[in-house]
Amino acid sequence: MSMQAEVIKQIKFGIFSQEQIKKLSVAKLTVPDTYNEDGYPIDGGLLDQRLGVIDPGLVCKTCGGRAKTCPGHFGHIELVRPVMHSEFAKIVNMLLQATCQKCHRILLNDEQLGAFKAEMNKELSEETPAAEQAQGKQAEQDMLKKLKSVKKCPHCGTVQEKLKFSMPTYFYVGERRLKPDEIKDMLAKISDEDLDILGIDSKTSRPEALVLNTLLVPPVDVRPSITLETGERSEDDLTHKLVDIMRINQRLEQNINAGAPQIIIDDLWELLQYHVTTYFNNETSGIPPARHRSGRALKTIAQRLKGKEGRFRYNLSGKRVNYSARTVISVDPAIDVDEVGVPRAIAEKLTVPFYVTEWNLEEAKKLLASNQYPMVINVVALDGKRKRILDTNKEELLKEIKPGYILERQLKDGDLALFNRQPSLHRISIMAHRVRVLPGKTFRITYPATIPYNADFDGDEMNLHIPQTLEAQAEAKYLMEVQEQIFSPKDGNVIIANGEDGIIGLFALTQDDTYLDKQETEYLLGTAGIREMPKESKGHMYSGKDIFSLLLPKGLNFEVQSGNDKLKIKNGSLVEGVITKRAYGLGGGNKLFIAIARDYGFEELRRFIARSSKMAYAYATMYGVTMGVKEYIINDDMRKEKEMLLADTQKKVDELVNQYKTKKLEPLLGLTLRQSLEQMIIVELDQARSKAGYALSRNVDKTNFAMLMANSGARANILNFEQMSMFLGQQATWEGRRIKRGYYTGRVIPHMQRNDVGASARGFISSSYVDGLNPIEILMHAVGARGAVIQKGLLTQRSGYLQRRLANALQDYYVLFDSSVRDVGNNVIQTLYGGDGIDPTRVNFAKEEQREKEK
Amino acid sequence: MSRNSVNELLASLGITLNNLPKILVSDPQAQKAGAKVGDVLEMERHDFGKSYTYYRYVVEG
Repeated sequence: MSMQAEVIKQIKFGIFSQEQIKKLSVAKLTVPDTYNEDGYPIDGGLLDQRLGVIDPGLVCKTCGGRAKTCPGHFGHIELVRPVMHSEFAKIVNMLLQATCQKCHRILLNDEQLGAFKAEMNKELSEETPAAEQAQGKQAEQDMLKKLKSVKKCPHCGTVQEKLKFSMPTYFYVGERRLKPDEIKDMLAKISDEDLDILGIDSKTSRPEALVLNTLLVPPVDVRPSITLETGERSEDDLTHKLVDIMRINQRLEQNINAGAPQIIIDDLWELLQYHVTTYFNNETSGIPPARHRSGRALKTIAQRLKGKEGRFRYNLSGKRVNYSARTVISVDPAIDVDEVGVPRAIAEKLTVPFYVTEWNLEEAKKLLASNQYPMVINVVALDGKRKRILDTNKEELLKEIKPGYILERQLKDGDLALFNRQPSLHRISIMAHRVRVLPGKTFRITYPATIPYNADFDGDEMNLHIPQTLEAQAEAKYLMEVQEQIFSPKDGNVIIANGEDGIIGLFALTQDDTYLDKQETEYLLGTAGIREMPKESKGHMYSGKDIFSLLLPKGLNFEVQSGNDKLKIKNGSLVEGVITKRAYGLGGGNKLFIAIARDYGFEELRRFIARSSKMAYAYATMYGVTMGVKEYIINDDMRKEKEMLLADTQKKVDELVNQYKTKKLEPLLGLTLRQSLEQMIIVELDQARSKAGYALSRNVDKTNFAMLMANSGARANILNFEQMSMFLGQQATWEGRRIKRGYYTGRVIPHMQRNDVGASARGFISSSYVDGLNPIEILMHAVGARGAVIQKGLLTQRSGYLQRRLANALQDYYVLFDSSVRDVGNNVIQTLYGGDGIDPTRVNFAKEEQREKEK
Repeated sequence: MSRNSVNELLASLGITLNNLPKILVSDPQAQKAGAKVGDVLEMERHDFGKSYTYYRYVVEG
């Protein structure tokens, strides 16, 4: 903490005593009214001019300031009878319970008192660990609870009567109600030493101040009255409440002076208590809220502070920013990945500073003179004064500007802007985009750019900020631009890439048998902005691979092989393999992006993503990618194969069960016979499912769109296809076990044989989604689905919170130029970042290089 | 670590002793190394087949 000059060690809160209130007050208020007939504040009324002025033209009688300079001053009301402060009633109750009703000492003998005191000191000491402090707190609470049941004062021997506290402000001794003045007396007699033992600082807070004799009245600035167009005045809720208090106070005084019967006085006293209680908190439980004439509950002090729209969360924690905009987002596949489409209306409002120098003075003048769209809105002079440009002062300013002036120019294409979507859990939740001014009212981004923001277009809104200084612009450009964020700072995986139709389009285009005619080829290349033709092949046709190759950087050499799939790019042209999600999509397998970024830089990679997605969308449309139930309806051959597979599986399971029953089953290592059976059945049923999937991929046409999706990795996989077309397979509960419990003995539902361990009795479903499930299968499916949903919810919630705590704990650490990790106090956290100084976003580059070396 | 090499280390990082990560004298590993308050320990740690150097400033406690 070497950066701060002063450190706040502690803040102390106390309670104003009657004397302090009077000292603070500039006026004793006596008239329960605001303005007289002339519309002038009444002296001694609630808008007394000594409390400050808010009307322009009037002068404050206390400080002589005007509406703008007078900060406002407190006044006070003297209550004829004391009333409880409802917010502190709990503390008063604690004090009354803890002390003798006669001698007002703590109801503990000296020995116990010593122990209690020690406990208290230990807790307050800074060296005590937090856990022990909490323990101490608990011990105190227990002690205070015990004090309630003490029958006889250990000091004076007085028998304690039962004291009852009823919310919000009533106290009873036995049957008799304690009036506030009695309580005040009792509290006043508690000694300072005893208070200190109970944890109340007697120097700053005497408990008798919790029963109010005088009420501090906030300045008018806190409760301004507003004048309606009709000339009528409308007072603030707090003023209304104070009027109520004063009115009852006055009536109470008159009745007392007139010698009214005690019942009437008590009633009025009670009413005064009600008004004071609601003045502090109009949501006090146990009493009806005070209402406005219209029936609306009044907003009193507690309501002003509390909650989301209260003073703390709304005004103090809630900061607002200039040079920013917010609107709904939507897609635009035509713009570049690092661009953001900004509505014209927003671009005209937001400004970018143009720093006038001796070298750009002419340009500045031209800009300033402009009368249409990218024009100057404000001029900041040398003294920092900001002037709005109007037709009237334009000529003058044109002559005035000189180096050092700043022109605030409207946003235009190519300007840098920070784009953000909440919740900002990531550093990539805020990225720098280039502005592209577009018609319409929404921000536009491309599909690949939605992924780091986790955005979609079902009504999401996002924020745009314009960096104002050159430093900020430079930082945004070199650290935050979209292309810099393609690889994740977590593990170096690709996090900005195309998906779904972007993948399926290129998958279809790069198939071995894709040949397009000249017109189609020109159209595709045109959408991607490429102005050269690939070489002809197969007489006046062009191969899809050649067309795709034009997107690749010139001279790129690249090769990956995973299983039977091989992708080979030689000298900038795709010679073997097809584009799938593995090579082109999100995640760690995307070696193509790594190769491009490593050899050609992020700029080239961004260009590749943008252009290839445009071509992909165009080809997906041209190809006619579509989807319907028809994809999932299988032919008779497949159906036969399915039946055979199921029968076969059934036979195998029955065989296993038989072996088990006759004890011929060979148990697996470390498992009981029963467990072995279970294990073997699960394996068998699982195999059935993969066999079904395999059968599908073998027999279904390659051009079936469901197959196309699964093979390209665009969406879904063979398992999903299989579950829709063939059969669902085993439904699992927690940890992949088969469903076995129900509210019955040895079976899931009464429709089964007891102790049947076969396939269908334990949640194996042999129907497909297309065919539909029978009632028992529906139940089994629901059991499995419910388990999956619950588990998923729990997992995401927990890991999300864990991640958040970690991120918050580490957020202020940074890596210095020497690769060491420091905190704000320049303490070294690690001498070398991560122990090895490797930047995770480029860790895969190194791996690739190493692999090449090893070759 | 010797006084000289400690000073070298601090100079290279541009920090004072107090900015270094700390270890209590009562720490079992510190005791094993026979560390005294005010010493700086240099440790080789083997993670994933590579070795990294860590420093700890020994403090009271």
